[in-house]
Amino acid sequence: MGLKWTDYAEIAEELAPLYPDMDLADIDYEDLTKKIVALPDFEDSEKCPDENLLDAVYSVMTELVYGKETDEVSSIDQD
Amino acid sequence: MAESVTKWESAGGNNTKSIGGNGYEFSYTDKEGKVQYLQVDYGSMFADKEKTGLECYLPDIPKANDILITHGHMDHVGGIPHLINLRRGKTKEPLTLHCSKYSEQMIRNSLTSSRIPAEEFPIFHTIEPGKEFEVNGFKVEPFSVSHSIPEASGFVVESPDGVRIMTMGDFKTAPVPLGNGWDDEAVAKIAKKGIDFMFVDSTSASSPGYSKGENQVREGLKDVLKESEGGMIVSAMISSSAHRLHTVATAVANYAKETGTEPRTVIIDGASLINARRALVKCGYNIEEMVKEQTGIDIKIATAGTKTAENVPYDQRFYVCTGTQGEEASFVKVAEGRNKNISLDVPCPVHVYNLQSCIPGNEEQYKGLEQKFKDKGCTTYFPDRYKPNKITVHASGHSGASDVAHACHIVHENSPRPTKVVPIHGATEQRKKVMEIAQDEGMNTFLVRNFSAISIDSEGRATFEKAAPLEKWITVKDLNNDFRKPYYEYATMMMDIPNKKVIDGEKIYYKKPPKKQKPEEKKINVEKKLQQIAISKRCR
Ligand SMILES: [Zn+2]
Repeated sequence: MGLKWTDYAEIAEELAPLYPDMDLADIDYEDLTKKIVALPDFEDSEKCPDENLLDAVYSVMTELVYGKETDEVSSIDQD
Repeated sequence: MAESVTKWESAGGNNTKSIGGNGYEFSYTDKEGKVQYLQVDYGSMFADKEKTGLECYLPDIPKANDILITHGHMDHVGGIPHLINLRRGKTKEPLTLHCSKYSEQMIRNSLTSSRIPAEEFPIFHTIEPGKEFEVNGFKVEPFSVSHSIPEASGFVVESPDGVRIMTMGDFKTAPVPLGNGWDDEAVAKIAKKGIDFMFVDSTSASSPGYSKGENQVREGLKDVLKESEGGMIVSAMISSSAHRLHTVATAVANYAKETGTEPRTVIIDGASLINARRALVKCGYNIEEMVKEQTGIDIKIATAGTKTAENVPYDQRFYVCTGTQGEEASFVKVAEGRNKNISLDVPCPVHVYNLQSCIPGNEEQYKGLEQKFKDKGCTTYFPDRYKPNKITVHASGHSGASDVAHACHIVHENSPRPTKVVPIHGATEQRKKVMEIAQDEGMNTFLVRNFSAISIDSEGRATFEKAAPLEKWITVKDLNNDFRKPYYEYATMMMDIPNKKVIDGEKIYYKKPPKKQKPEEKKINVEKKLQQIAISKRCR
């Protein structure tokens, strides 16, 4: 069994190196859907059942490309 | 038959020194002894990974299946992904979060960041200011407050006995540019229905006067733009405190309009800021459109590393980075020449601004960060937390003494019942300051420590339960130490407050999320299984 829509992290890991020039602040669900469906091991419906899953893919891709920032909690405590 | 009781318990957040790990629990015990729970926030507390090896601390696991979320800062919602891990297999009840749209986006980002399976995401119930709803027999009315993050909320929770408790969340009273903010009339209207207890944010209560608003930062940024003409601007902000991005964009537009020049391009860098930018758009805050409507000027917010950003002339760039405190994020990478998207080696002067003052206790790292930029020949401006600043580039999200007095005054004046004030979210000294302010307003006050509780009977009589000397917290460690494949270990930890000692507790076993296999691994596993079947058949 290949990737499903719910496999947001695995999808992001496969997409990130394929599209290094993608503007990750820009929401384009149509374009993202096309890119996901075109992944060789993607095996699910052509249409994503939940927009939030596409947001999850964007979010993980952003962390993979720009690096995760874990220490923000220290800054906001007394902001 | 016993008496019914409404109870409020500080589950975290009222620490003696540090701030964070916010969580408060409401419960109602009816005459038959049946208990209903409702939690407010479930935040994480900073653990200084370098020293402790821990990701963060969490308050104890909430008993409630419903959580009211005041806002999306991690010290209020950072525990949610871990709560989902800790609840796995232990309850069939769904977890429901009652929160604003922007808070939902912040929580969703932290769930994906912790790789929580999509099937296990909680139910999100979108709240609206002034729109009452019912949870487990409690009537809940949200009201909007101003804070550094958009769509922050306070709540009035009414128990089946009619006991009404107001919890403010993190707040200040200055207007905010995105979404609703503090509204005197709305607070007065809600107070008119009666408030028995009022829980008040004390974080900045020791600062005199009102907390500044983003409008003052916008004015300050005009000076920034003026003194940086002909140079490149590199700045940093806290990503989730997203009003600041709007403030920067508006200041850029206003300056261009006033000087008749081309507006600079705002270029964002850092994962959390890029995620926040998408969250804003999802919640209907298209900053470019808003600024165009407000100023008539077309501005552009680009993403670092894209062609659009790279095509902007250096002296037209206004970078906004993450990592104001020098933590491993975009800003320090620029200072150390490790940021692949932003270089200081450019053919024009570089002006560096920190749009956030120093967090107490972090003075050394904050100064060190500024020095790194200076060493690279940049002109720097890092605001001082304790002294008056030449330029206003930062406004706190928490209420100053006058905001606290203002809020207390409105409630005191409008509530037909006597309202008792309980300070929360602050170290002991700051909470004592809130008590002084409320007492000046003629209100009764109570200082409540972590894990102590207030019980109110059906006649409105309150009794206080003192906390045990030991505070129970949960430690979070990533055994993989790899954000791409986190493997969390949870353990209890007791803090012996009177003796200032930490006692390690026990590991908390939890069911791990189902492992996703790659197609090749699946193929190998199937082959292995077939081989095992063949061997077992041969042995028979
Ligand atoms: Zn906050």
